[in-house]
Amino acid sequence: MDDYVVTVLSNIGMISFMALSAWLLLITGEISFGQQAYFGLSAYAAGAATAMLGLPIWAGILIGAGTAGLMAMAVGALTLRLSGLYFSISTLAFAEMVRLTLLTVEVQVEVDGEMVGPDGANGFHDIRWMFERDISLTEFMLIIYGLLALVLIALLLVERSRLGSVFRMLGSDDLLAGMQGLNTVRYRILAAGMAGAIAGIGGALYAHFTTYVEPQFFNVMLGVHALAYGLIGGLGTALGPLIGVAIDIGFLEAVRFIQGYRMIVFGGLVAVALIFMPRGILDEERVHRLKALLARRGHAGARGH
Amino acid sequence: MLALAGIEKRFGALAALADIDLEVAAGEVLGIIGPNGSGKTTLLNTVTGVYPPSAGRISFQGTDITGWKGHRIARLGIARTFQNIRLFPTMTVFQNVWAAQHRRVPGGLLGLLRSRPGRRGADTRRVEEVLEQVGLLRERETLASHLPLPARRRLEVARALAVDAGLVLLDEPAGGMTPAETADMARLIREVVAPGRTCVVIEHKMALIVGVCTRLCVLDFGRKIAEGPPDAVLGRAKVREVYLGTDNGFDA
Repeated sequence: MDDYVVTVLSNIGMISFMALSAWLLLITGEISFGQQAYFGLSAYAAGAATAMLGLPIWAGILIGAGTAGLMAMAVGALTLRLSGLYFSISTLAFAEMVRLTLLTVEVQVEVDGEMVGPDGANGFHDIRWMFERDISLTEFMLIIYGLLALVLIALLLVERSRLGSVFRMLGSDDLLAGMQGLNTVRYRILAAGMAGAIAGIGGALYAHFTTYVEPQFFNVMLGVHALAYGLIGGLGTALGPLIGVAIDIGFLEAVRFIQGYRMIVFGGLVAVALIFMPRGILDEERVHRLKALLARRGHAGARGH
Repeated sequence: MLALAGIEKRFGALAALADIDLEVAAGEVLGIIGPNGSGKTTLLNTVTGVYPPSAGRISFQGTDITGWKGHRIARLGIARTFQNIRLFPTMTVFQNVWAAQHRRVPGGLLGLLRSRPGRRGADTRRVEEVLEQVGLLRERETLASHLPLPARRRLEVARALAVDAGLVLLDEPAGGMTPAETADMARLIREVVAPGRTCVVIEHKMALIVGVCTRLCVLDFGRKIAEGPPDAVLGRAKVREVYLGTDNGFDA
């Protein structure tokens, strides 16, 4: 594979973490315009861990995702009483606060005779873990997809469990969830933390893949895209947001004649999807029908043998 | 079992409930009747912690639960249904009942993660048992939003049964039902819900009140105006006037 293809595929992989992060909040009924904050925070934290402290990358990813997750839980606790539009606006405001703060952070240490660390508006350069370890782009892409597979499997397992059911109950009818004896506050904070940590894994990988991070990258468009993936692909299964990513980057990037108009087409797709399929292609109802179909097939197949 | 003392609920200047004293004894089926807007649902909402009372105390089995959050009250063993039917529409019949059990799963978060609907266990059997009791076992894989109204009301009842709540509050369980469906619901309450449980039933339909409730309480403009055995309460002139209007061809 040439480097261009590997880079595009890696970007798809990294943005998928954002899509899954926004999706997890969407199923709990919250529209966050601020998941890019956790992506960015983690990129900085993970970069600092490997480039400034010399820690291995798995520690960097853990620190990044952990920082993002804890911060997301804190923000989640603060915004608990907000719902709907007010919640969305507060997440956006928080994300902008993070971005503007990162623009001012200048903490550099000397590593091998060079100054390394966040340098305000210049961003955070020389996160050189890949070069130091002589990791190729393709190898790094495999790390990205390995972690993405792990997160996806984890989410699919959560989805089938009672915990996943709790998350959907929050999104469907918060009051009713409470009347079933569930402490909705606790589960909302948990979902926020999980979503923050998932975005954080993407951010940590991104910092090491591109070797530098700039706060400009974590602007609201990243968060809006993340939301749109779930809304297009569908909220009925964790595979939904990945379908959204595939449609946006895979399909729209690949089709030549709409090159340059991609954002227009994408925006239109989002609008059409929201009107005709408010919960996406694979919404709960279609997922239910697919499952029933597969179960019947499985049944018929078993009988046939 | 449940005791309300001096309960008051104000929404701004409106007193939806005023000075309500009410005791529900273990094992009885208390019917709460009264015209629209008399405060029946507000009373249920106050008991189940949808909102706290403005004044007064509520205790359940000796525990003062005044001002508690709904989820804590539910955990004590109080289950309810809703006048406007609240189900999780994108979940199946099975999942809706299964969801009521989440709070009882041991092992905290790990317990919640480990438990899946496919695994045969006591929980799954209990869900199937109550679905059988309310006559919805054949619809177990149907989405709740696809059910007709009577089935949805029965599903709400199944959910209350699945958690073995000691006190079940039913808010117009026969609302919107035909006479035949109402009779089915009355039978379900009498034969399945009431035995071994304490029930409070809000209802307009005499067909459901008579023969199901062991005692009645009448609300009017947020006040309790009568209480006692059904025959006695329904016979009272004031109740007939408030509840049925004056000079009404009343044939319960």
